[in-house]
Amino acid sequence: MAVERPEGFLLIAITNRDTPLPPRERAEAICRLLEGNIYDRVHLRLNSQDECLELLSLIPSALHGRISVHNSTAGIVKLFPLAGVHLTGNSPLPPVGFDATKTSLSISCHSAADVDGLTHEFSYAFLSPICDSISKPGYHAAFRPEELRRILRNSPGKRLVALGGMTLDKIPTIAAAGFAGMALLGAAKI
Amino acid sequence: MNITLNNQVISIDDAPGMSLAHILELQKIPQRGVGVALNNKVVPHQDWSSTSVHEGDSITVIRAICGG
Repeated sequence: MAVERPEGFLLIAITNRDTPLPPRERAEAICRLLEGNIYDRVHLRLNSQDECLELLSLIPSALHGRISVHNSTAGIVKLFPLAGVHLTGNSPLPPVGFDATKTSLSISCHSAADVDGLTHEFSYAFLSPICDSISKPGYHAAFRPEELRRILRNSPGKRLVALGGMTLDKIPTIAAAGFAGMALLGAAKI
Repeated sequence: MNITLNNQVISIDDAPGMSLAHILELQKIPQRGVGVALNNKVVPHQDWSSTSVHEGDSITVIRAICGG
């Protein structure tokens, strides 16, 4: 009866920069989400280092190992033992002193060329937008089905995570397409 | 009332606002080994009994990441 997820299929929730939730409620929502046995990891995509520091201080340390931060706040990994740092095209370099043996790296890709250029140090990469966005009006799917099939077929060993318009009911479709996981932003409501 | 369970519309013969736990029990969903989201929002196991389900709601039951 339950939706099956292939072994190792990643489910990631990404915080919404425009959330109406105050910090304490947001931290509680993140904890509930991680304790619900569905999501493997939460990506904190935030507006400032201070916001990141406040949020992490409100989340029990036992959950820090399932949290990644995005590059604008990546320096915070020196203070908290987090799961990973996520890089985007605006600043595709890890923070100074980054220790790849302790923290994983992920990155955002938006084209076949981005995926071609992926190197082995990335644990996984977001590929977006796969479907029309839920949270960003006017942000439409960027890949034709045949183009997506070609990218996935030509990327053995690269763990691509679908992003853009994802909802939990799409797990079977996204897994069958060959993605290694799915990331939800609008639908995660954090 | 009509709700959606894993992309399938089902009818439940009971009062509106019944608990998520009750619906999962009616549908013979196991208590362990699954994660549950109501309208795409994760509901931890301890909150299943106190969470109401309403007409048109969508429940997703997913095999848990680590046995539940």
